[in-house]
Amino acid sequence: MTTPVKAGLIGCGSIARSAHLPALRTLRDRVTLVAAADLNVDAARAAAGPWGAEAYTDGREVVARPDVEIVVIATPEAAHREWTEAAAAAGKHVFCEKPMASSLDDADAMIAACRGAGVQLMIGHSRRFTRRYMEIWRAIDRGEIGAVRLVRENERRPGARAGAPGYYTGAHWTGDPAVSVGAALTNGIHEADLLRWFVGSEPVAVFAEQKITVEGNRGVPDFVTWTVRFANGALGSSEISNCLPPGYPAFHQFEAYGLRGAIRARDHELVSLTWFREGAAEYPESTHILLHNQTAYVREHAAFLDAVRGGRPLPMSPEEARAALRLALAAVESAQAGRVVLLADESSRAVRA
Amino acid sequence: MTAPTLAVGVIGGGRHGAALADHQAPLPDVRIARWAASPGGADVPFVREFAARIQVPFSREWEAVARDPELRAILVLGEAGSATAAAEAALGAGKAVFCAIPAATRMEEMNRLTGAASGGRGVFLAGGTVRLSPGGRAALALIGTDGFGPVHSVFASMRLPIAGNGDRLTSAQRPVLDDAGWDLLDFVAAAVPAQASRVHAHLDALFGSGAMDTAVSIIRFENDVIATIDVARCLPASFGASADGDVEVEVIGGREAVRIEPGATAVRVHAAGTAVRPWIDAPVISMLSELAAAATGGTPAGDRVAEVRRAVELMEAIRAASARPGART
Repeated sequence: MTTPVKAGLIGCGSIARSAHLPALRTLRDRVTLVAAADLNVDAARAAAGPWGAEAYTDGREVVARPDVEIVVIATPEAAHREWTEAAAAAGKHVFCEKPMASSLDDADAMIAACRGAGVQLMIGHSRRFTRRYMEIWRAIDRGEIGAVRLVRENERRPGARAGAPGYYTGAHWTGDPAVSVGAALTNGIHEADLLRWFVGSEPVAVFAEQKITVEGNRGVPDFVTWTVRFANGALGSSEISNCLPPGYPAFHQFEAYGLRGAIRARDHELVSLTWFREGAAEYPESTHILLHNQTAYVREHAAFLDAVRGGRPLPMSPEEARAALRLALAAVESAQAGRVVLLADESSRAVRA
Repeated sequence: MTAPTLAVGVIGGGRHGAALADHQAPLPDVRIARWAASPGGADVPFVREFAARIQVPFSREWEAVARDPELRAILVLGEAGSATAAAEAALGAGKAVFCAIPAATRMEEMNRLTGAASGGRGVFLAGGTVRLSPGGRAALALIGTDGFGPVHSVFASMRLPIAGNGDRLTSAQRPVLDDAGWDLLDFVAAAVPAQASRVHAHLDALFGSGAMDTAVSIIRFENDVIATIDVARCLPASFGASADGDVEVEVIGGREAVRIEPGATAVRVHAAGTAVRPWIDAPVISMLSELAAAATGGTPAGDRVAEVRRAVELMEAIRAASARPGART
């Protein structure tokens, strides 16, 4: 039996608590957490405690530890470059939460740093590891619906509830304009990645509109809708809303139409219990199912460990994550400028090495 | 003593006509008296069958029906693109007119219609099946209340069979925007009482028929509402959707949100076999009811001419936007 990989965690907020730490726990025969850092020392201690790991308030202390082999970065995206470069410089493999970064320059620097150091870099695009999207991709890859011509994925999330630091409110980093770009990146990076993945072509034109809908929002767009024209002529589109009232079903709703068939998947149809109350219907488990798809996070970490220890190829290259980022950032640019953004062909452009 | 029945003429068939023909007597005080094929006559075989089914005289002469002095009201159904002439003639003859299909798809047609509606004694009504479905009506009523909060966004999607609507429609070769797109734009125009400030759209032929079978658009309105409208004839035969389309609409407000799927209201009849009454059944009966009320002196709800004009303006804006760089391959 091989020794578990020693991991360090930088960023111990909600995504670390709800997704990465439980996934690592599931994989504890293959990985063990030895260090965790967060600006909030209580968050760091809460993450480290169950593992008997050290807690820090500075990620540099995690990176500096000689026993750490991989670094899991779960900070807001604005800090991804800094920690990736630091980890790569110290020879650590990097698993980084999506979106890859908040700019293409940062993404390129991350790829260059890891390539230069000879370490693995994987971005956590968890939906690629969700059972239904895996099945959809396999069906498309087998040609079961023919050439994909039209794809849509919509996302609905409830707004803040009393006493909880909801997305895009002043109490959550997603609502801080200093570090958050908004729904196009925080949520929309998933849609950007899935559209590319399923269409199998690069985007050539993007149009988007975004706005603020969440009560208490301090100026970060929390709603976005976009259409994407791909080089093969297919169309993709997504609409993301984060302000749904309590009781509205949270969902990711996907549909792909090809020349020989169609695939549709709706999370809210998986919720068997609808609770009809006076004046409203509630879907008690829909948010839970949507936001805590634990097996997807376990699969993505397992795939990363397979690459680090087993020498297997990463299931998703950092260049793929960069391409999704490019699409999402084009949407932001389009919404801000109020015009279509045309994307030049990057097929011959080498990512900085 | 019973109230006299209102004699109504019908022009055109299509999916609405098929739903109407399922009812021998849809409303107690209304009698379908004549049924004519659409201008152009493309739906003659279907309209003849519908008329025979409810045992009313069939006519190829739509103008004669539009001007028939026995008829006080005209219901215009049938093939998209044929409505303007029929509605114009009936309005000119002083009839109450309900247009279930795009009364106009170009501003030139709209102006003709406006002239006919304002110049004569006729009453003009219009409305698509989404707006008039039970869910559509409930949604529009709900978003008009204070409790709903300001409307942030509207999402409207309709999916139709790639092959068109089988033996009932002749519209598979028409641009989907001018046909099914009307139903969604009609709802959006009713839900968002503002002018569009920015429109982006893709009109495209993606599914091999050669027709413009896909229309995906994003509209920002002057009141800051953002509407996403996505309509396509993209369903394979195996999907099993009814020819009336697979529709979903969401309106998200500051305090409440509403989601409707008109197809979910279809009536499934279990008898010797299993039959599904089309979801547009209820809207078609609503059209007839509104028409009867208007023809007998009732006050039409809202300014339908203005709403249709706004829907046509959206159509024009979508066409213009789809010609810009990036909108097409």
